[in-house]
Amino acid sequence: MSEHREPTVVQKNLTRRGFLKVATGSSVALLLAACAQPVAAPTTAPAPKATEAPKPAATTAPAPAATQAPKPAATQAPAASTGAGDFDWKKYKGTSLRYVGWNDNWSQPMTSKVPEFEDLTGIKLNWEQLAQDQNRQKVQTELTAKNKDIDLIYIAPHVEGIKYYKAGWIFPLDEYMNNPKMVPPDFDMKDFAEGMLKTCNMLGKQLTLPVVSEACLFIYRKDLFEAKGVKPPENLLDMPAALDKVHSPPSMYGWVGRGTVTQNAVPWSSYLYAFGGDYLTKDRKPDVASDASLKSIQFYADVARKYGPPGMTTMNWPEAVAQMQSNRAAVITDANSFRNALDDKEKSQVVGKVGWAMFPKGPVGNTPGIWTAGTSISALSEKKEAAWYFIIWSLQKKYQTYTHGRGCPSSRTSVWNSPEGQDIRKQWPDWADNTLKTLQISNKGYSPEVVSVMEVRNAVGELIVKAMQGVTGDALKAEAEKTNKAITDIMAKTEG
Amino acid sequence: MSVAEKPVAAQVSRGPTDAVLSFIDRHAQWLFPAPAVIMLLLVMVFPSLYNIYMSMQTWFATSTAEPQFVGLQNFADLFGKDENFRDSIWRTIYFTALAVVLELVIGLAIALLLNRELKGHKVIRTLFMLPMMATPTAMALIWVLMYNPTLGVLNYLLSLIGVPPQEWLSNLALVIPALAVVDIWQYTPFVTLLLLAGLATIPVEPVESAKIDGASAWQILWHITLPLLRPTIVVAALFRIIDTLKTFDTIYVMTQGGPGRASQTINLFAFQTAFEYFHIGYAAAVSLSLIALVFMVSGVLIRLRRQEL
Repeated sequence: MSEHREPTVVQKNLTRRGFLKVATGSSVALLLAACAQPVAAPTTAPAPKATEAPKPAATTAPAPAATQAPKPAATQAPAASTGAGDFDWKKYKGTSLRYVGWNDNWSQPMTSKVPEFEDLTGIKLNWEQLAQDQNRQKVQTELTAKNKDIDLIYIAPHVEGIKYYKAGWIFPLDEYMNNPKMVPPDFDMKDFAEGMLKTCNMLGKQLTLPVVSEACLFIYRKDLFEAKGVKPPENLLDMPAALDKVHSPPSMYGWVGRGTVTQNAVPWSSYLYAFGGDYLTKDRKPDVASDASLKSIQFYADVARKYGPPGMTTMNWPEAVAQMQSNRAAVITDANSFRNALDDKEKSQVVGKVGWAMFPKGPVGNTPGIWTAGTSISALSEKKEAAWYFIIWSLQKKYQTYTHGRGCPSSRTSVWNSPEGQDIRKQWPDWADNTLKTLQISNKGYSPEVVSVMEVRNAVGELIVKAMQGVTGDALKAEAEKTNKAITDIMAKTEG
Repeated sequence: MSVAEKPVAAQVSRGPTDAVLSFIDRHAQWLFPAPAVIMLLLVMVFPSLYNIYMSMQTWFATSTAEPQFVGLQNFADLFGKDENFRDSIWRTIYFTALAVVLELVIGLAIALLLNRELKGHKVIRTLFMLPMMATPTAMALIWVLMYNPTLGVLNYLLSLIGVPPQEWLSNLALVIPALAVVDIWQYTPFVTLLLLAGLATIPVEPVESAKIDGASAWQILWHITLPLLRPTIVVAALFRIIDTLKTFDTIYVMTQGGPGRASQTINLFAFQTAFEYFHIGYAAAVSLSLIALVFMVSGVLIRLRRQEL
């Protein structure tokens, strides 16, 4: 029996083995192919060691003292930047960079200039532009995962600066700024407004260079105000009376602003300072339950409820600006850099009808929020020098003049004084004058000076939303006390 | 016998290749499923175990400090102190209950309607399934436009019948129902599809004999169709509850959990904790709590179904 069955068994085994041979062979080939991936190139510069840094700087942005234009940064500039070094734009030819940025008033106009950068340097730039909130999530997620692909990130120093630097994600620019071979001779670092340059210098490190001098202004429909015979209010408490005159819903709402949890504190901060409040006390305790703070929250919420369009609590700045652009709102108290959007002939129905007044004085003072942002180099990037080339290229006088002309107020003094700058001043005198005036009187940023800015700002944002939804009086005070407690916890966790 | 054994001995001693093949042959039952099992361990078991491990650490991913073991402190904080988390649980349950109950009721009604031999019922069925096939994120964006208080079509339609405009996604009381409507619009077809399959398995005899006995349509539905359909309804409810409890995309796109935290469900809370504030340990504890909730509800439903069978 076995003699007859044996060949059958062998036959069967051979077929299965044949299959196994092929399968094993293929697997080995695949494994070998997978192992043959190219090895990543070594890093060109080490990431900065995240050392225990001191508490955030106490001031935000000292205003430029000049009366006509931002004061040049006399002491900040490295000597090398003014001298002639053998700077070579083509040095990093063939490199490619990835820039995770915002879709904001500086980045949008600069996008069209990218081919000029690529032609000049031979560096390929891949610029991803996202809304702020999405950008923050993406950048933090990728950098937490130690992703080396990102070379450049866009930051608002007083939101992300300390947090990102302490996380070891930002490569300070000091080393390159002070190296004559890394700065083109005509760059002129002294030209930057001192206050703005200092705003980008945190924990003793230059984290970025300022691309914009943003200030909170009272932005209003000149034509409507004139038609009703009303002037922009000089005093904040007179604002509701002025808004009453131009408020005729549903075709025209008197006021619009940012309402979302993540963003409402930005414009509200100017109201807070005007009522004499602040995010923190001098000894760095949360202070949003103070009388001044509660009054400012109540005032902001009342204005939003009474004069704002429906859906205020879900409105971020792009939606708020869209309300102005589409001729549905008469006033917004927000950034001077909205000029480009409001005077954009393709997108705005109110071109030439917008006025730019000073943010009204409050019962206690007038310190409208100021702000800047800029491009930083990722400490994890393996192409830091090429990344620096983009920063230095994008901040040349001609490109600062270009973005300034498109409503993004420059941080370079020479741009304001240049013939193009003078033309802008002639065309938008109130915009230029009130921007400069605000930069002189204010040294306060939009955000609290803490490590985890967004977390604290969102806690305050929730409180503002509650007020916008009708919480008032003692109930609002109780909520504010809870917010103070929440901020204390956040600071304890994130600042030790 | 000795004649028969010789060729086998020769085969075994032929070389190392044969030894390997013989090994594979003998252990095929372990080796063939191995890649799938390894993959499952890598993508399911390891992340789950790591999540449990992380939930017992306190770690800010944006800080250079190493994670610290804190035992069950994160859970104690979550359930003991964190009002935002407790609120998010109730919101999740409210959203799920509202969406799933209505999906089941509407889904059943449509299934009963489509179960009849209507003219063109195949075309109607196909068209009806379209919302289920659409990408949730794209649909959520369309719904945001429709809900827009000033430009949206919903308020326009309401204005035609004299109803004042509503702040759908900005109103504390309306935001969860408004989000539930989107879920209902998108997933009722799924419920209908399951119930149609269930209806097809119901025998005709009981219905016919009831008709002969003079039962009304309502009595037939209540006393015959629904009891026979109950196992399918429980399965549909199970699928939808699990899915709705962990809804993320639609809510994130439409409200990001706002206004304030009014639509922040557990998943949104976990996302914010993990990817906006980078409190990874705490977020792991939140996501474990969501998994526990899903398991609990599923357990109850599965037990319910077993009892019926």
